[in-house]
Amino acid sequence: MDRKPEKRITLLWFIQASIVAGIVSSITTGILSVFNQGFSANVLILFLTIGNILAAVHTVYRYRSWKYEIKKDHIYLEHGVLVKIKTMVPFVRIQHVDTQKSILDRLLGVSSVVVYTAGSRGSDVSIPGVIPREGEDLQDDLKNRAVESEDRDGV
Amino acid sequence: MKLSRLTIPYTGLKNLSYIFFVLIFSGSFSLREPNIGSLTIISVTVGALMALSFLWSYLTWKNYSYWIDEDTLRIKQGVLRKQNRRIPKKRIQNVDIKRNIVQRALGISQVKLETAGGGETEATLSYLEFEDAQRLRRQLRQREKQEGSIENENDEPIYKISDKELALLSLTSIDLRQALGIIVLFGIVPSFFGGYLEEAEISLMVGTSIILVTLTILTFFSSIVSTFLQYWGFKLYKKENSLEYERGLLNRSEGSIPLNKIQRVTMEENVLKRMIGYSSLKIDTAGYSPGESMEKGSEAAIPMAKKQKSMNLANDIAGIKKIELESIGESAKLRYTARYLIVSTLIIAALFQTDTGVKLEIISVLSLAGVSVIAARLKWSNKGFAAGKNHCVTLNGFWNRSTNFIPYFRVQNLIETQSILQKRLELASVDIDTAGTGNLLNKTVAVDLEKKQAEKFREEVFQKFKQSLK
Repeated sequence: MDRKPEKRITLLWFIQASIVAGIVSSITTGILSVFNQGFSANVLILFLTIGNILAAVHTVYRYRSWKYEIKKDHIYLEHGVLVKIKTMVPFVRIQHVDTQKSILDRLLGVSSVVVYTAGSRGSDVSIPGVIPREGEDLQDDLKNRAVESEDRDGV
Repeated sequence: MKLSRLTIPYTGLKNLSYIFFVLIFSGSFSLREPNIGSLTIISVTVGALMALSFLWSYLTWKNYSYWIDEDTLRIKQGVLRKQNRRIPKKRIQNVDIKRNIVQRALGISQVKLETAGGGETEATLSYLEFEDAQRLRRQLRQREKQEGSIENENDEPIYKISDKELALLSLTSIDLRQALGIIVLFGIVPSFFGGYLEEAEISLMVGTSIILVTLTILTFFSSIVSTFLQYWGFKLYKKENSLEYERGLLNRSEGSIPLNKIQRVTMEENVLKRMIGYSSLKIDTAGYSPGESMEKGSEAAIPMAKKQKSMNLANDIAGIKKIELESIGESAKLRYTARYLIVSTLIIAALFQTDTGVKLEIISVLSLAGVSVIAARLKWSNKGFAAGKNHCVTLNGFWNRSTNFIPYFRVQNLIETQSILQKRLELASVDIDTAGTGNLLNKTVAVDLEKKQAEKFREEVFQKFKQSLK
């Protein structure tokens, strides 16, 4: 059964994307104003508008692309807008599982579940926007499955 | 057990040489007008520094001890800050013994231990008597509770570099891409300086040519010499449960890696090696992997052997069998051609813009297009993948072709990626993540498979991975 992050995580993603858009717009406007020898507020507003529209579109696609599933013997994650990433993490390879909450996460009342393996990109396996209680259940569940197969870490 | 007593004078002098370097540097200012006063100050400082340096070396030596306690290596060290370390024997990946030329004369050596995780060497013991170092390595290699088993010390190496192989290895260690770069520079530089050359009566062109040629020769020469020194007398032994190598003319290295820690085997053949039908083998453990650093790169591997011999050795070491590789997606050719065409167009456009005298002739444009098609074709044909019986295989690279073999039971994660550009051509890549590939530039990826191929490959690798756990 596919699962998706909680919808409210999109707010956090949009804020992040919007901040990036803001920074990029300011820099571009800055460079332009040096070339044109003059700062124009209209240009900045234009860039910010385009940037925020792009941020919103990106957030929508980002949310659409996200899904994860706890399968019989592995975790399956699928996400990514520009680069679509599908990850399979076998339970036997799980080293440990964290739940994390950033300040914004806490405001939204969600947390992330981060799964570590001995692989080089183990910490890339992170499930955002999980309701904290479910997150802890998930953490316990994964931890138990990992323990069943101890000493098989492939290192 | 203690470190060698010779450690005291050796490290004492070594520390001192650093200090002297600083002193000479600063002294050269104050000694311009020598007088009795300044000379006394200098000799007193030097004397005090020497005493301090040797005292420190002595204290370090005095406070350092190591021993093997059942299945754990224990190290106690530290003068001001005490440290007590326990490293389980079964967690140790590689053990290396290094001796530079001075250390060889003194009969001491450095022992380096690698465990999984972390980029740095886990423990470095500097310095042990050479015999002690070898004994320590043997003890660490022995599996739990096997102290009594007698090692067969004088068995034959499974591989020993021959003079011919060493010569060929040194000569093919150069990277042809550098030569190609130089040729391209030759093409561009004169056109850049075209205007000035006439004024300077061509001497500039001769000048740049001489510099470029000298640089090329120097780079190639240093690469040849360093490879020669590094691999002189290379020997590889296969012991009960580990591989052991020794090598080096001036600086000797020897070491061992447990066979049950092998994460990946890589067969490398650059263009030159392919032309003469040779290849080399490299082995990754979770302790370190090729490409991590120059020196660490090719430990415990086969530096140079005829392709067939390499394959046989790979089979001997890790049970690797020759396997027919599958081609990657047809449409990848299109992708590479487009990529090269765009890059070459941009270069031409830039040259054209900067008014360097490059003329847009139809013939040069056509030939660039031709080169792009051929280059793309070569890139495509030097890629492949396969899900073998015990290993999954990926092949990448024209200039430096490398074939990676990963045993299924080493797989950590499987990651399939598809960028927007790949999506258009219905391509996808599969990244096989192991604990060995800590270096992100050194991943094992099957690039640009057809979407269906990629899905099938990922599923197949996963199924075989599951079987391998049983």
